[in-house]
Amino acid sequence: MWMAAAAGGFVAAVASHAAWRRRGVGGTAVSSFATSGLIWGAATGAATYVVVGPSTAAVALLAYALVCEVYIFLFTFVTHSVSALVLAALKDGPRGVQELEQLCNPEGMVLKRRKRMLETGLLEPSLPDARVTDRGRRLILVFDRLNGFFFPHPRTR
Amino acid sequence: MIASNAVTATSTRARRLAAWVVRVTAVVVCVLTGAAIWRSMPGPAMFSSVLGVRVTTIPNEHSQYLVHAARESVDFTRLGTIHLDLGFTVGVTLHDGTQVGFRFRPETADAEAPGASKTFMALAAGAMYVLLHFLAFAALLRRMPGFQTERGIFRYHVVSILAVAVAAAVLFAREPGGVQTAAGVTAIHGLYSLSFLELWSLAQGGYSLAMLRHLSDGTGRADDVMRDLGREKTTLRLASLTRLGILRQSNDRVELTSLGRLGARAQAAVLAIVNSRVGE
Repeated sequence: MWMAAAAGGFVAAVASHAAWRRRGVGGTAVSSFATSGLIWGAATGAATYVVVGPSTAAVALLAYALVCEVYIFLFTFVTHSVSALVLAALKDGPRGVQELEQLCNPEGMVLKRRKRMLETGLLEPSLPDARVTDRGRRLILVFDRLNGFFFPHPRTR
Repeated sequence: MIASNAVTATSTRARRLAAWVVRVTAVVVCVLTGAAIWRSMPGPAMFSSVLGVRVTTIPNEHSQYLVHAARESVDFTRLGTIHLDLGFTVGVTLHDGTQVGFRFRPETADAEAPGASKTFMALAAGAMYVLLHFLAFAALLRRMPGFQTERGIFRYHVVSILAVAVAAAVLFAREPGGVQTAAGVTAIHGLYSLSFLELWSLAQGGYSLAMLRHLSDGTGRADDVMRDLGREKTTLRLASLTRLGILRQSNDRVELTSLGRLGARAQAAVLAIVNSRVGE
C-alpha cells in the first residue's frame, strides 16, 4: 500500500511538473517541482492516512520524498553538468577530443552561467564586468562556511 | 480614444476573469466528481459511509476489512448479501458481486495499531542512527584525509546505507508489515545521504561559485579565467567519464560505450519530461 501510494504520488507530481513546464509558467524547474511535489506529497500523505493509518502514511511519505529528491538531483544534473554536455554531444556519434572540447564551448558556459546569475539576482550589470550583489555575497559566505565545515583542512587533490 | 482604450482594457480583464472562474470551476467539478466516484467504489471509505461505523483495511490482506465496532451494532445487509457469518468474521457479497470479509475490533485502536507502534519505533531508531552517523562525521571524521575525497565520503554513506537496509530486512522480515518498516528506515538514511552528498559536492565549489568569487575579489575580468577553467573542467570530466566506463577514447576519438548510450537515452528522457535542454 505504501509503495503504491508513494509511486502514485510521484507519478502525479512528475506529470503535473511536466505540464507546468510546458505551460511556460515562471520559476525554475526546481522551484516548480518543489511546489508540485509538496502538493502531491500532502495529498499522498492525507490519502494514505485516511485509508490505512499513520505508520503506513509515514513510510509512504518517506519513500515519496526520497524518489522526489532523486528526481530533482537527476534533472539538475542532466541540465547543468559538464558530463551532461559531453553525453549530449556524443549522442549522435563519436567525435574528436578537440572537437568535443569546442562543442562543450567554454565561452558558451561562461555566457550561460553569467546570464543565469544575472537572472537570479546574484550579479548585476556593471562596467567593465558584472558586479556581485549583496545576495551573491551572502551566497559566497554560505558556501565558504559549508566548505569550512566539510573541508576543515586544506585538501590536496 | 483614451476612454475606449479603458473600456477595452476593462472588458479584456473581465473576459480573463470569467475564463479563470470557468477553469477553476471545471477543476473543482472534476475533483468533486472524482472524489464522489472514489467514495462510491468498494473500499473502507464507502463501507464506513454505508455502515455508519469506522472501517479500515487490514494491512497485507486482500479484500479484508476491520470494523471498529461490535458485530451486533452493524447491519451488513446495507452492503449486500451475507454469505458467511462466523460471529468473529462475516463474508459479504456486494451488490456488484465482489466478495469481501469483515472482522471486528470494538476498541478504538486502529487496524494497524500493533504494527504501527513498532514501525514508529523503528523509524525513530533509524533517525537516531542517522544523527549519530552525521555527528561522527562532524566531530571526528571530517578532519581525516580519507573523508575529504569523493571516494571516501561516498563509501562512508554507501556502506552505512547497505548495512542499515540489511539489518532492517533481517530484524523486521518476520513481523507483520516488516517490509514497510524496513523500507521506511532505509528511506530515512537515503534522504539523509542524498542531501549530505549534494551539500558536500556544493561545498567543493562549482563553476558558478568560482565566477562569483572571482568577480567579488575584483581581480579583473572573469571571462578569460573562466574560459580556461571551463576548458580544464571539460578535460578532467572526459578523463573521469572514461574511468567510469561511460566513454571510450582511442586515436584521439571519443565515443560512448553501451553504458554511456544508456545514460544518454535516460538523460534525453528526463530532459523531455522537464521540457528543458542541456545547459539551460
